[in-house]
Amino acid sequence: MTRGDEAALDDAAGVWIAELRVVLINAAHHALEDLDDLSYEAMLARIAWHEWGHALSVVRATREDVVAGERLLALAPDGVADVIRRGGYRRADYTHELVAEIYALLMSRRRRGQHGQPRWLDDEIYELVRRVSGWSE
Amino acid sequence: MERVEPPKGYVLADKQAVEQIMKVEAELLRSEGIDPKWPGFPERHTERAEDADPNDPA
Repeated sequence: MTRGDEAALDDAAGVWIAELRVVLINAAHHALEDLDDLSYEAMLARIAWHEWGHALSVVRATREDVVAGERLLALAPDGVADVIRRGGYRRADYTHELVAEIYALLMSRRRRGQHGQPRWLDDEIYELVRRVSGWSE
Repeated sequence: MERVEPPKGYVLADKQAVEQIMKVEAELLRSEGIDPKWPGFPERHTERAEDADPNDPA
């Protein structure tokens, strides 16, 4: 990992360390302070799901998927695309971040008893997440 | 399978970023008629790091 990679982790609440095959979560991250208990738990779950989705994407997404990142981001719900763009990621990270965010959202829906493709999710992104994550619903 | 890019971590720059993420999720859930309130897990046992007792081996 380069020094630049290490510096980029300063604001990270979670990260997948491929070499160790482990997800690390900073449960004391400054941005999580002041959340009520339910929101705090929801965010920890979201971070874990995001990182697991990210790990699957990093390993399973193709170069074509990565190249398509900016185009895929344009197909994403506006709020999701905005969150990713504001995160300061490189364009080469867009696909992985999109898969991670959508995977976390699908898991959140599932926790609420909702299955299948949400109507707010583009078909191409849904199929990408299904292929990359093994999502079978 | 090929590793294409190294992970950069889930960036949460500040509390506003967390609020934005939660707001976006709530709006998407509401658009489907889903209550955005977090339902929790079947057995909730969440302990914030700053609240943890360092002398508690559990």
